[in-house]
Amino acid sequence: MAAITKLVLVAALVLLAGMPSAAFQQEHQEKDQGKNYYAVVFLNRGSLTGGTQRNVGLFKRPLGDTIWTNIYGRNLLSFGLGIWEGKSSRRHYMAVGNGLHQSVDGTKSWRILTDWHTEEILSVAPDPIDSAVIYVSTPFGVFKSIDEGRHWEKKMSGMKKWFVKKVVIDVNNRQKLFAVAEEDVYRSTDSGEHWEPLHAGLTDVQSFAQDPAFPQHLLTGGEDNGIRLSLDGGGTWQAARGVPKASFYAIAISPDGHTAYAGGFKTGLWTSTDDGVSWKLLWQNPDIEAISTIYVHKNDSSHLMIGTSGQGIYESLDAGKTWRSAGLQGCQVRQIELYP
Amino acid sequence: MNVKKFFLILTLFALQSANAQLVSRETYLKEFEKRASFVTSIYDTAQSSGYYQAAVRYAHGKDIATADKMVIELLRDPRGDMFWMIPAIGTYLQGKDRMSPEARAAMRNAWKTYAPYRGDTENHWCMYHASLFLAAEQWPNLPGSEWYNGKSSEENLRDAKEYLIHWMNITTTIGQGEFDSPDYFPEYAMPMILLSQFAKDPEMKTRGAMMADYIFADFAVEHLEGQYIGGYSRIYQPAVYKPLLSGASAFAYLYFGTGEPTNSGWIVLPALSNYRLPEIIYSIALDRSKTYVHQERKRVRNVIRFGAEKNPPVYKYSYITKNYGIGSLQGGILQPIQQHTWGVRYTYGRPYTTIFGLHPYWSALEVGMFFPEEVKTLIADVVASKGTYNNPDKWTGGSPYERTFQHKNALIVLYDITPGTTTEHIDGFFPRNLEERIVEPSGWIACKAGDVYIGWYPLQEYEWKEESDASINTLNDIGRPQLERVKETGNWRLRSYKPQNGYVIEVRSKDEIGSFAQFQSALNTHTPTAKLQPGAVSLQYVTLSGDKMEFAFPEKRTLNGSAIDLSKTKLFEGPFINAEVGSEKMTMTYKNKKLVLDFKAVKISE
Repeated sequence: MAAITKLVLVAALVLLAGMPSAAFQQEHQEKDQGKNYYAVVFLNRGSLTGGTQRNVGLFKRPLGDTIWTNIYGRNLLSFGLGIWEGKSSRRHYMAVGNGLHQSVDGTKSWRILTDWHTEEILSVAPDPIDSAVIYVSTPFGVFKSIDEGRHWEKKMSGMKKWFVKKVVIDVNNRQKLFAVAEEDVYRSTDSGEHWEPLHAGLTDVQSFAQDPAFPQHLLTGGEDNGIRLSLDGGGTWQAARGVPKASFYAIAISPDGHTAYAGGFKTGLWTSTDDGVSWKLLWQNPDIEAISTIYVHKNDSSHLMIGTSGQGIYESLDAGKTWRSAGLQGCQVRQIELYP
Repeated sequence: MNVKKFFLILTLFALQSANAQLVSRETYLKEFEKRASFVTSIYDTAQSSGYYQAAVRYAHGKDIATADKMVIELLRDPRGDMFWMIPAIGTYLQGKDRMSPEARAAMRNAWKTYAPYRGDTENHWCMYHASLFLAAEQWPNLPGSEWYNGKSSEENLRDAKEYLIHWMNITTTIGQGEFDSPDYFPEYAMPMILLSQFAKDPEMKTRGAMMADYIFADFAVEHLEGQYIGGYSRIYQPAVYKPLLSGASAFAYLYFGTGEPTNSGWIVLPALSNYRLPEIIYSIALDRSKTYVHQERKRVRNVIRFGAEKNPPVYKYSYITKNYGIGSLQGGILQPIQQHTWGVRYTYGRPYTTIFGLHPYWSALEVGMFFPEEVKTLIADVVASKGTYNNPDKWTGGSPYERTFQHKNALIVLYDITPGTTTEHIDGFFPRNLEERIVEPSGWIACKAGDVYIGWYPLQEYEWKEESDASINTLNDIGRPQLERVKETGNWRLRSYKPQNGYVIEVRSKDEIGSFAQFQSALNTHTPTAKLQPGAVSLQYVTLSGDKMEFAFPEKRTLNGSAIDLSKTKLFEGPFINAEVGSEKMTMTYKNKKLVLDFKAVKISE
């Protein structure tokens, strides 16, 4: 009996240790008041274009809730999310297979901004200041609009190939952009007019992250090539230590810059606490085929979510020590954000 | 089936035989009307709910209340993207003057609230934009809030028109990307026919008719008794080995009067349409009095990565007689997943009227060339909708390790398969209904299909495997039940496991060579010489017609000592249809008739 009591006590302590404190959770909730978690879903396996409803698109999970509800585009194969926030207004963006969708009324109604020229929109990066400026990446290059999406221009000068998986705006300098292209990471210092390869040392680039606290620190992952890092803004690159030569599809860095996370095809979730120089396996779940996106809470670095290639979302509240399945089973989740 | 319909089908079979002969325009039109009536008569009394059932009722002014009820019910939960858009707008256009205000309002509301996806292939885009164009014309001057995509009627009209003209331009300059697809022919024909009938914009109305003519002509010149001849961009199982099951065959029935009577939904809206095939096109489709070679250039579907060119060229060669056709693409990955690189199709025996071979290849590289997701997860995603993709026994698909060289009715296929490739064998399909399948002492496999003889000379050792067609409750590639519920056996698979490999195909008809015994004798005196080393696969062969073909994998082709330059292939080149690359113009000729489709001038001239 005593042994059982002891066991229960130990288990309770372990559980308590694994959970954020009630006070912290409350603070966490207060800071996030008015926000919701959003997830974009590319596909639900078993669906077919022209077939039955796919149950993909944009999903919302209110703060403190555990249920994801489809709020838009249950038929739209969706790749990414973006937001522009002004003083009194905001615009939500969805990068979708049939164009860039914009909502100016808090996700209630949407409009497609692009036309037939832009095929799949793989990512969106709205300028953080000027709402008129929007960048998108597509299988046929980066496109830029300077008039809120009414007109678009292809911006590929300096790029060797045309597939661009993601476009990212520098955390400190909105004229500086990064493009995750097919064969390299590219950088533009003139708002996309010209691009230069960073020679990251990969042949098939899959992921990229810039350290929000130390912007000179860059990480990139490649197909069957592990992770590479630059500590000087892309001038020189080195292979990360400790990670396998696997395919890393997602990299994220905590807002304080202390912890990096990476995952990909049958890799499990890896973590680094030394600017990406060395890595260790944090968590592995054999049910997960691939990790396609990683979310780190901006105010609580211990709160993580990962989107998978077909097994929905997993969530950890203790910096990755314990995880729970957090919905959207069967879905390929491409991006998770906490947005107002 | 009631007695009346039974006799109607018998009559249609008789008419079909008559249609295989060339007939006057007047007779053709009368027979077309009978076939169209046969198709639509099945739908205007059908009790099952569907857009086509409603469209026919509206068109015939028959049982409108039922049609309204169907439309309202169906529009409670629209689904199917562009596969919804086409029948929905087609039904509306047939019924808008007869449908109830409630049905009309339900249709309008659906275009406001249901957001169809634009899709990711050429046929999706064609259907999407054609139906959006027609819808935007029907509901003009509406603000973005009245449309599912937030764009105004004018914006949708402009966007859709621009895309359609772009598609027509690229198709008539460097070729169609999703070309010559027996299963995807309807997805192009139907929207163009709708445009030709219903577009208010005179330019788009003309363009719709011209483009319908264009794709019908493209089919007609490679048509043989309801079948599409040659290599294809896309085909599903089972149509790849049961050719008359494809959607194109339903159109061949309606427009050429060939194949078998069908009640395929694909041809319901065309059967209601006022679009009629120009005489020259069905004449080209039906006149097989002279054997001919026809060549085409198409383009590879948009290559998004792992390539140096967005739309590399596809070269197609077909040899067509009254009894058979043999056609090929040059090989390599030209389309993802469902490519059919070469095949022989003939008129004898149904349903298995074909012999073909392939390297049943699949790879992350292949799908990654055409789809933007991460390549390692893509295979599972593709398999979710194209179930046979990663099956080593599949009967569709191209391969980077396969190349062809065709001259008239002789074809060489070579393989140089890298070790470790997803499949390291090649397969050949030999149907069960062949009268003969004899392995000659020379090594030739001599086959007899009625008056058509096919020789297959394997370059490496092989084995035979008996094939079952469809087991009970088997689902096909798109998750639907196979048409056959009874297990059928008897087809044969030739399988060879040697990575450096290949074969020679010779096809002749009784008219061309005499008896089957004479064909066998001829084969036995013509055997190829091959070198089969990794990285050095080549073959020399003198055809039954006496032409010397030399082929070194992958691209060195020599005929009678002259190098073949495939890059000179025209958009269309043959006795019936000709078009230059970049011309935006197709010229059809048949006897003393001529028809020119000039897309630059948007003009049809004779």
